[in-house]
Amino acid sequence: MPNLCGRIALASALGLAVLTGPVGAADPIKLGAIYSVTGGYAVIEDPALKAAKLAVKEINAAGGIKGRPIEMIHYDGKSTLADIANAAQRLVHEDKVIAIIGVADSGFYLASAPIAQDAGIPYLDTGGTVPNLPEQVGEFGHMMPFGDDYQAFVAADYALNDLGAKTAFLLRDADSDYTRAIAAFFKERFTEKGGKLLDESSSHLGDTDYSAHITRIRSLNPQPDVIYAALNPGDDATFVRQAREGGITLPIIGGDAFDNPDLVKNAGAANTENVYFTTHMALTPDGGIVQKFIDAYKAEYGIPPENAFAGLGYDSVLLMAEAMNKASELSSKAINDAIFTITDFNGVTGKASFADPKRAPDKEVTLIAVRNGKFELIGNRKP
Amino acid sequence: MGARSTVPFIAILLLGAALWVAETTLNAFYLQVLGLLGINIILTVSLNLAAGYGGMFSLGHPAFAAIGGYTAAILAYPVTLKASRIPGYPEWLLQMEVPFLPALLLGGLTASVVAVLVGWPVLRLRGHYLAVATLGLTVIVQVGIVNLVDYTRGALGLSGIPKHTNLWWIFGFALATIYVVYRLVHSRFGRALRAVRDDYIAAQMSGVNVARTRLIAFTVSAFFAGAAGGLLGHLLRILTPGQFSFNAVFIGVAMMILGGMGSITGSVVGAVIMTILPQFIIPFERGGTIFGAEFPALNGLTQIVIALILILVMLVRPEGLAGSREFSIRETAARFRGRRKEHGVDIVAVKGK
Repeated sequence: MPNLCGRIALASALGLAVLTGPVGAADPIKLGAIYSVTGGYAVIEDPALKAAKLAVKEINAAGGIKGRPIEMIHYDGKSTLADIANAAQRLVHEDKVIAIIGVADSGFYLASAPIAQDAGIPYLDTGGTVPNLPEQVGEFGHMMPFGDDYQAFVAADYALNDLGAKTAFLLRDADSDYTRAIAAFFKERFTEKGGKLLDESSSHLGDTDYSAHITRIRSLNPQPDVIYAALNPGDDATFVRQAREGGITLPIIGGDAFDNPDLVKNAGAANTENVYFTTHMALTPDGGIVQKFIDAYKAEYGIPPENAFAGLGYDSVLLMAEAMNKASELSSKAINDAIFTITDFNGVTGKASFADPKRAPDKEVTLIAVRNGKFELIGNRKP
Repeated sequence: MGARSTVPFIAILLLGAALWVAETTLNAFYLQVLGLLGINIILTVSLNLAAGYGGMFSLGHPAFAAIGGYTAAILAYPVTLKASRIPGYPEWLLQMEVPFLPALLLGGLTASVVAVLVGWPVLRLRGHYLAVATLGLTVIVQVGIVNLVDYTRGALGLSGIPKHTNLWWIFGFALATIYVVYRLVHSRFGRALRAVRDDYIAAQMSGVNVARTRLIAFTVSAFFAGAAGGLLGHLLRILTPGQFSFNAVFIGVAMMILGGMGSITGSVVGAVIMTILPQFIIPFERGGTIFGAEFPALNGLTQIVIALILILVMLVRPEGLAGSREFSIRETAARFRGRRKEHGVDIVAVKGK
C-alpha cells in the first residue's frame, strides 16, 4: 500500500485540526493588521508589526479580552498601494475581521481606510501623521500618533520658552509632505507666539551638500537664535554635520525623522550637541511602562525596539484592546464607539485622548535632547 | 461573414455573462482583484503595441498612466472637495465635475498629447537609448506630481476620488484596447510597424515613413495607458506618485515579457499570472496553522515565486509563454483533431472579416 503513509498523515492531521480547532475555549477575536514587511516601508512598519504581535501575545497570556483571545491576521502591504488596498479588502470581506490596525504612511492609510469605512469597521492608523486623517476617511477612521501640527507646535514652544529664542531660520525638505507640513506648522506657531523668522530655504530629499544653506545662515546679521530643520532621515545627519563643520553652533531642532540611530552615527557625537527633536516616544529607559515594553521586546526578538514605530504598533493593539474591553459588545460598531470614549489612554508613546472624531489624538509629544551622542528625554509635552 | 465572425460574438457574450455573474455574486475583494487584472491587461497590451510590435522598448508607460490617471481624476473629482484639496486650478475648472467617460477619454488624450511631445524628439533613439530616455519621463512625471502640491496633493496622493468604475468599465476598455491594437497590428500600418521593428533601414527602403509610423503607435499606446491610469484611480479611489515609480515600470515589463512580446494573448496571460497568482500565495505568507501544523510567516514569498517564474520562463521559453503567437480557436481545434497546421503570426480566429 503505497498510499498508506499519506493516508495516516492526512487522518492524523484532520484529527489534530478537529482537536485544536473549535475545542480551544472561546472563539478568537479577529484583529486585522496591514504592515509592509517588504519594500521601502519595511524599515518602519516591520518594528510596528513585531511590537503589535508582542502586545497580542501579552494580552492573550493575561486571559484575552472578555475571555476570548485575540487572533491577529496580518497581510504584507509590500509598500505598494494596490497591495495595501487588496489587503484591506481581504481582511474586511474574506477574513471578516472586527477591527484593523496598520500602516505608517498617510497615503497608504488613505488607500485602505475607505474600504474599512464602507464596511463599518474601525481602522486605526499606526504611523501616518497628517492631522486630519480621520476627517478625510469618516467615523471609522482613527489615528494612533499625534498629528504633524502637534510636534511642530511643541518644537516652536520649546524654542521660544526653553531656549529663549526670538528669531529662527527654517530649512525644509521641499520634496516630502511630512517635512513641508511640519515646517509650515512650525512657522505658524513661532510667528504667532511673537518669534520672528529671519529667513528660510528649501533643500531636496537626498541632498549631500548643504553649503548653500549654511552660507545663507552665516550671512544673516544678526544671527538667528535657533534653526528648525524639517528634514528626512539620512539628510538630518548630513546637514547637522556640515552645519557644525561650517562653524554654526546654534541650536538645531528637528522632527521625529531625527529619531534614528544614524543621526549620531553619521554626524558624530560632538556635532550633535545642542540638537533637539520631537518624537513619539523616548526609547531610553524610564523605569515605567516604556522600560517594561523595551525589556519584553528584547526578550522576544533579541534586540531593543528599532524605532518609535515599534511603540506605535504596540500602542495600536493596546488601544484596540482597551476599546474592546470598554465596548458594550464585541461588534465593530460598539468598538468604534468605545474608541471615542477613551480620554485617558496611557501607552508607551504617551498619554492620549481619542475624543475628537475628526483629528489626530490629543497626545503628548516627546522632546529629546542629544547629549554626548545619547538621546536624553527632556519631557512629554502638549502644545 | 460566417463561422469566423460568430466566434468573437460568442466570446463577447460569454465575457458579458461572466462579468454579470462576477458583479452579482463576488465580494469586494474579488471584484477589486479582477478590476486590477483588467487594468493590467490594458497596460500590458498597450505596452506591447509600443515595445512588442513597434520595437520601442518604452519604460515611460507608468508616466502615461500617471498623466491619464491624474487628468481623469482631477476632471471627475467632486466639486465639494476640489477647492480645498487641489486649489491650484483656475476657478472654472474647480467648478467643473466632468462625467466619468469623458474624463477617462480626456485622460487618455492628455497622455497621447504628452506622448507626441515626448515622442517627437525621443523616438529618434532606439534600443537602450530609447529605454533610458523614456525612463527619464517616468522620473520627471513622478517628481512633477510630488512637487505640484496645489495641483496633485503631492506625495500624500490624491485621495477621495469617487469610485466610478466597475468590472463593466474596466473590461469594456480592455476589450476596446485589445480590439484596437489587434486591428492596428494586423493592418497595413501594423505590417509597416513590424517592418520598422525588424529592420529599420529595409523598412525605410520600402517606402515606410519610419518616424510617423513609430510616433502613431507610441501615441495610441500612450492613450490606452492613460485610460488605464484613469480606471486605476477610480478603482482604488486614490492616486499617489509612488504608484507610478520604478516598481510599476518593472511590473509592466515583466508582465509583457512573461507573456511574450508581440502577442496580445501573451499580454493577457502575463497580466493574469502577475495579478492573480500572488493572491493565492499571499495566504501562505502570513504563516499560521493548517491542519494543526504550525508554519512560520514567509514574508516576501510572493516576490520570490514571481521572480522564480520569470527566471524559469526566460530559461525555458525566452520568447515568453505565448511567444509572438496568438490564441486561435481554429488552430486549437485543428490541433485537437491532430491536423496541426503551420501557423503564422496572422492566423487568429478573432478576425473581423
